[in-house]
Amino acid sequence: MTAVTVMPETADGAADTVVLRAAGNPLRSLLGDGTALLGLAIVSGIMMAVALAPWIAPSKPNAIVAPQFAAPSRAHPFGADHLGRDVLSRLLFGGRVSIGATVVATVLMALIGLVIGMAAGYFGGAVDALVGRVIDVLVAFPSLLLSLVITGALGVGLRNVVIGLVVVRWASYARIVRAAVLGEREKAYVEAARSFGASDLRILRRHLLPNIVAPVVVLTSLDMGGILLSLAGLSFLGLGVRSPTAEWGSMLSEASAYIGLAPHLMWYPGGAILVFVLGFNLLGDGLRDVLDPRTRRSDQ
Amino acid sequence: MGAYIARRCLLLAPTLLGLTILAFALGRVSGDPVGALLRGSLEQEPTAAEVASARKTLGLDRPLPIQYATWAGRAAHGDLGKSYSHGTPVAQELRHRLVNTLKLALPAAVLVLVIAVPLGIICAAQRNRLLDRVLRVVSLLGASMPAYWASFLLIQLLAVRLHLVPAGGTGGGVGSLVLPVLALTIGPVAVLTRFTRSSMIDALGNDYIRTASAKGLPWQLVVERHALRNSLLPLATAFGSTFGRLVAGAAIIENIFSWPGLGSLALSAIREQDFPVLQGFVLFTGVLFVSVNLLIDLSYSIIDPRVRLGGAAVAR
Repeated sequence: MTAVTVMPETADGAADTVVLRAAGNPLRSLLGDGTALLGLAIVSGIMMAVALAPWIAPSKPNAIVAPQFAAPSRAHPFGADHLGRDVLSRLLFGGRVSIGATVVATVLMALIGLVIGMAAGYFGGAVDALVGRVIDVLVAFPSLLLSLVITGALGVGLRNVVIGLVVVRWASYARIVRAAVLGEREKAYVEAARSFGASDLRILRRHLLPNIVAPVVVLTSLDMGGILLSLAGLSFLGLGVRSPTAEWGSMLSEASAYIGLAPHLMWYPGGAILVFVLGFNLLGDGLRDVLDPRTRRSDQ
Repeated sequence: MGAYIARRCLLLAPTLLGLTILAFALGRVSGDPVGALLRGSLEQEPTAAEVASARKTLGLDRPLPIQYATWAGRAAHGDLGKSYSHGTPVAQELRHRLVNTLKLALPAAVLVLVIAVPLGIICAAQRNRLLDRVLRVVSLLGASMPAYWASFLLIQLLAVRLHLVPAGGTGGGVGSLVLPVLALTIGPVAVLTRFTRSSMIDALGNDYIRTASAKGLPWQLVVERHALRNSLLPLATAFGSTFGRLVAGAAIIENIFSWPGLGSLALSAIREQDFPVLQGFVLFTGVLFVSVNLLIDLSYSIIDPRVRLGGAAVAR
């Protein structure tokens, strides 16, 4: 209808059109790609560290173990915050909350987008028209703004932040899935399945799903960094976890009150967000190169 | 051209309808707003009779579809109701705040364009040389940087250490614009640089580029006349979403720099559960973004005649 290029708000908001064509063995090329490998190393390193937090953190996240604003030392490598809590421990436990909520949000929005997008693309007609209008409304906004208002209307809390993100961002997944299904729907294998008497549900599940799941997986990895940025941003604004729970965005917001007294406290949560998002951006870049031979060729 | 514009505007009708439903629904998801309203004004728990009479005055006792129709009908005439907490007309407040947000977003948008597009072109033209590699690393870092964190680093450096500019508020004239605009610019500059680079590289990979340089056209002219023009279309789209991102990003940045724009209005409305303001905000910004997107779509038809002549089938 209109000549709008599909532009998912990807991890860094890299407004690239996602063009996806698998070339050879994607996994092998991914492991041979330095950028992606670095991204993978960063992301999995951080995820492993926060997963192991209860065993490797120097103390409990809310335990007061040092003088206020204690400088970094052997016992407390990143020092202590305004209440004397160990910053490294809060960072590790806070990462569980930030990353955990990001993963939950991402999986939910991808699943919802997958189901609705498949239904719209496959059945067409009134379903498609309705879904299309809903998507139009949702993508009319920069996603963060709408998530902010929805979370705000629902009330403070991490669960509401996740809901606010999912309610808005499923639309970009649904849009891409819908387009992919439209491309596959008329192909011979679908017609063959139908002529054998397969039901709609069976065609969707057994035949279409395996063929469109790849773009969703890629979009997910492109998106994860951006979702963490939004989540931590909303939490920074005071809409997420309640004190004293550690979370990267709320740690940053707490530290910002002491910017004159202890500016270094802001380096840790900010740096953690930066490195994590950077990891996902590198991974996403690599994935895109691997799956889209066009950019690969022109980039090397 | 006229027919194209008309068709494009017609498509807006269902989107606008959807926007009003979304905005109205948002004011209702957390239940009846009356409790919050009365607690705010009475500073104590309201009695059942007080709630009932307030519901009647505000028309909240009528069925939802009628409430929606009344609200949407007034909104169509530019009346978005009054703020629960301040009693001021919402529409007036929104207009006032929009001006403040634009004071940040417009300079930021110009900065983004002026910095990112040339950088992206340079990167593409110098692909894989040292400058390109350095700029790619820097832009990747910039794109991964939380804007709220960047704001504090800027405050720390420029306001606290060097005392160059005020750390917040609107009192310092042009000086008070510097930090919020810079903080707002970093992410979008990085993103648009990356985008310009990849879309220029796409354009440079075309056969007509090889033809142009084979016929002896100087490289600079090849880039300017052939490659740049063909990457304008994706660039226009990208810039549109950049503008949206700037206005949205302003929501957080305004809060940090105590700047009285749209974003800080939304946030205080959330804190005060001021639903007329929230509803108005959603509708107002929604219409704003829909209009910006429309302008960008229309600009396609100027940049690329295929869009208006052949419709989408030819253009993509």
